[in-house]
Amino acid sequence: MRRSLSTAALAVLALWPVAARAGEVIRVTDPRYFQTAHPVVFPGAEIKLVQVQFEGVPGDSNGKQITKQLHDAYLAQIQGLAGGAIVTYVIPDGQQVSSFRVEAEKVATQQIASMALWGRVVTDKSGETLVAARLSLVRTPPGVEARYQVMPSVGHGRAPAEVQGVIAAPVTQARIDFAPIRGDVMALVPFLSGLAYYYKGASREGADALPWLRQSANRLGSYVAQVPEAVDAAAVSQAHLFLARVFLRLARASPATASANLQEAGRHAADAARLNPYDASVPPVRAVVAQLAGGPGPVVRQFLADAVRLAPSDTTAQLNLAMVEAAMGHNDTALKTLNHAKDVARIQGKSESNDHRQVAEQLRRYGGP
Amino acid sequence: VRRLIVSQLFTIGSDAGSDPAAHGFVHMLQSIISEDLPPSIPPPLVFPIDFAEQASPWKDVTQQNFSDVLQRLASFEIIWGDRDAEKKLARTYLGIPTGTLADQVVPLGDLPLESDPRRDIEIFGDGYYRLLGHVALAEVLQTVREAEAADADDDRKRLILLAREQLREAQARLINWHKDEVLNRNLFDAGTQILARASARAGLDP
Repeated sequence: MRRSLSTAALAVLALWPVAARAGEVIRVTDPRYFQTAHPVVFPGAEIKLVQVQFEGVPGDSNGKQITKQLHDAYLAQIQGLAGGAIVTYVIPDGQQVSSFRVEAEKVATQQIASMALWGRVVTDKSGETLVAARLSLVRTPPGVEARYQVMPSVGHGRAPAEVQGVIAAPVTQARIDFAPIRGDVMALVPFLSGLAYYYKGASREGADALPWLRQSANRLGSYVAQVPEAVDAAAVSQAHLFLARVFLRLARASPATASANLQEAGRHAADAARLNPYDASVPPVRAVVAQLAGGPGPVVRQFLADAVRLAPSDTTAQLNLAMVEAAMGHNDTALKTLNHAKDVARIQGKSESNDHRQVAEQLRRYGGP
Repeated sequence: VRRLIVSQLFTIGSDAGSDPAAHGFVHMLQSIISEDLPPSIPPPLVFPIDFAEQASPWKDVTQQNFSDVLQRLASFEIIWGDRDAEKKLARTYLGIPTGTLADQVVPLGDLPLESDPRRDIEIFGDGYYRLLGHVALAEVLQTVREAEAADADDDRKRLILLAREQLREAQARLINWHKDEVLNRNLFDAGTQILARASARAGLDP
């Protein structure tokens, strides 16, 4: 799942520098516009947000105004983000787009964008505007992972063998539906720009990643400070989860402050779990934090078992669990989990992955005579 | 194609505004359902029927006959409304055959009948999320039914895994409204119990 910039891609970016402030508004006059491909706007942009005008009821111009406000505010917030860009599509009054989600995601894919934003605007009986924003991570950013080597205690007649493992916690929640916002829709901007900085920081390592990750932490931190949990638990949970990923990456990029950053990562991951216990992408991040912080094996295992319970068709979660069970010396349980993962892959029509084969090989070596 | 049947509500009198309002209501429902359901749940086609105009055994849909309507139309979710001509609104309901664990009839809210519902309806109130949550639950339950009707063991397991994914995605997406009494009782509690039992019957860990 990891996607990082290749050397070639970085070279292209160097040749095609993108202005720090890169925003374009495209007025769509032809109703068939989205049915055909168009030239990519800001082709060198590394992190692009595509926004499609928020849908309002006929005759209500609030949708257009809010779209423009978000465009301007986001553009101002990515001023320091080299390679950041926003492309906004506005639609003339009286013209309908059949499905804003489909169009937003389609055009974002064509535009090689990272994120797509759209939504719905209504005015309630008291005349107050309500905005329901939708965000799709069209190209998911890299998640986090923990690599480890352990020498489990072995049973009689077995030679000791080192278990090497990786707990992978990719970004799997690709869609965020914000609760309807009353009043100032600009509360969304720190979330959106915080994610944009995360995309940038997560594609880099070491000192190159630090400034982007710190900016991401500041903006997402501002979002969780501004938006009450009771107003939008789902989105605040997502913001905490990305903050956990940010601090995990900061811990790796800056060993001197690793301990404090891991502590912050753990706090944010716990908040994400408390706010949305149904989000299957949270427990693997908690397991990564626990593993990197030197937490006890049963704690790491419990987080991974939670991930399997929430997402029983996710074979990555099952492989994570099998490896940790092996590392704890529970070879028979690990083998059972691994076989279950194989069955789940098979009934879903998926072939056995390389990861699966590697885990099976390790188990065979460890469990052999 | 799975269908969400909508009993035509905008038939009070013969005022000229009733057709655009009816169109607006169906458009709004289709828009919400196709854009806001989780990706693992294919959106049903919103299918309006004016029962009073059709040669059908029913003049209207009610709490008493909705399951008969669904059975005869080979569908598993229907919206209808009890019209209040004096107040010019309809008290709307969603009916889904759920068995005994979950509510079969869910109140959605009042729908004004004399204006464009996209403008006046409180689509962001409780009714909107109940609509979304219970349409999701109806789809999950239908996936479970298809699983239990499957001949091959692998097909049954695959569909149960899909149903669990659909339910969890719906629960995660609607977590902001988990304290709504009706959503909590059905989507969160009953949905989880139903899937745990179905998983056990299919030979999967609950």
